[in-house]
Amino acid sequence: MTTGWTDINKMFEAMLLKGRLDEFYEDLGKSFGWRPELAAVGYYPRTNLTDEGDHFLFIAELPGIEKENLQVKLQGNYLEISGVNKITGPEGYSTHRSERKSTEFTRSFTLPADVDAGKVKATLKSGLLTLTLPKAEAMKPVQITIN
Amino acid sequence: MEGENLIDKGQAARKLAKTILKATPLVNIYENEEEILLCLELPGVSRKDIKIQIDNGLLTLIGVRSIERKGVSEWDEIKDVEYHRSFSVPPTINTEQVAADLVNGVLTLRLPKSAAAQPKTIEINAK
Repeated sequence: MTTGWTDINKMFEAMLLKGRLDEFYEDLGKSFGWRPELAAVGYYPRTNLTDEGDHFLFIAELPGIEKENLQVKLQGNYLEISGVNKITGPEGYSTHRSERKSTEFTRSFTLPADVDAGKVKATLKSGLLTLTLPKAEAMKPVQITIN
Repeated sequence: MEGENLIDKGQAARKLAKTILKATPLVNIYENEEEILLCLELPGVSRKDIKIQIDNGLLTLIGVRSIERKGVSEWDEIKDVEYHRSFSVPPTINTEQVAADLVNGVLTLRLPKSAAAQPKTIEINAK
């Protein structure tokens, strides 16, 4: 019995303290708006959103992605895009430089208004995913006639 | 009068050139015995806005992206940029036969090696 209870207690204390410190740093991170799930994936892909009156135009930058590897989910004013941009080198070639990497991503957005999910148009062209998101009837701007 | 107009135009062009952001496109480089492949990411860049030049062993690529904006912007992470990147081309490349394909925002440049640079199998003559 060379390891006394005090030593074990000390070890436990150190572990507990470490646990508490981790929690503390996590809380600290949260209070500054740092979210680990975002740090892991980053803001990938980059997106734009414009309000064009009766619809929103959404663009996401996804060069080289296959449309089979891309999913778009919509509910009310919640939009989620997810997928994987697979980068595979051609067969029989050696790789000298590899800056483009396979990326798996999920990114969600809160749109400024509800959209009519049934009338959404999606296109994938020149590495940009473009979504035309018609606003739900009740959300559309209305012209008021003055009597 | 006309001279002044030209100066105005020159200044406007310089202003525009200053406001556009510069970006470096990501690249993957592959090689086999026949060719070198450069695959560059140029999302949102049209075919007509890409210029590729090979001069004195230096391949220079410039691509301009300008995204049409009609409505009111809610958020804007994809900026208008000028993509710019240069590569040294080894003398073994036949620069006359370089081919370029633009597919879904990825530009692939095929740089074929000249016949003299490709490995050859030497047949041994039997006597």
